[in-house]
Amino acid sequence: MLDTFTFHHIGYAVNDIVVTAEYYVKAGWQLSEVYHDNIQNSKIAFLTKSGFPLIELVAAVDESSPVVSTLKKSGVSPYHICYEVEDIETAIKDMKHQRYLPLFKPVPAVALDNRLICYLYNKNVGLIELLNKR
Amino acid sequence: MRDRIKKVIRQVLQLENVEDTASQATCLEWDSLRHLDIVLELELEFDVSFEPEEMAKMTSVEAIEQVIKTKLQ
Repeated sequence: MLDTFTFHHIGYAVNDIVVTAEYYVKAGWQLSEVYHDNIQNSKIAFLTKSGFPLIELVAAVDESSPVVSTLKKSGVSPYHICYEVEDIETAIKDMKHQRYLPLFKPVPAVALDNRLICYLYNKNVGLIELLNKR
Repeated sequence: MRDRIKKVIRQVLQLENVEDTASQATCLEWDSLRHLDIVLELELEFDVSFEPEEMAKMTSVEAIEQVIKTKLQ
């Protein structure tokens, strides 16, 4: 299943997007606009630099934001890898057979052109995000 | 059923004992990540697949039992 996925980005839990981004911007990365994802209750921005993988910075909006538990447990840290898939529903179905647990039903992500995303958890792989190609 | 649920929780959280009243609110070890491990192990134990909305409800031994009973009906 994973062999048909395309790497998209690394998700980074941060306390403050601007503070973390500053380190990267100084090193030549470009920071996107900051999106407010009301569904994920998170603030999201992307760091880009030619030849480097895309980095997604995810910050909490309030204590109920999903990223809060990661920040409490691990501090500022990379915490998921996102893969693009042709058909997210089919991918989720296949992943469930491999003992991945979908955390919610696919939802549009404002920071990713409202394409559908879903987070899945596997005990031995950790957290991954699926992003529908269209 | 309740004993099987408690056994799964005990094993995932590596606790010596799990009370009937155990819940995410009263058990420090039962954090959001361990909750996912508990759900995955319960899927194996009871040969069921939980939906995200069911997972959100499964925050105590009693609530888990209710969800599983409903699924197995």
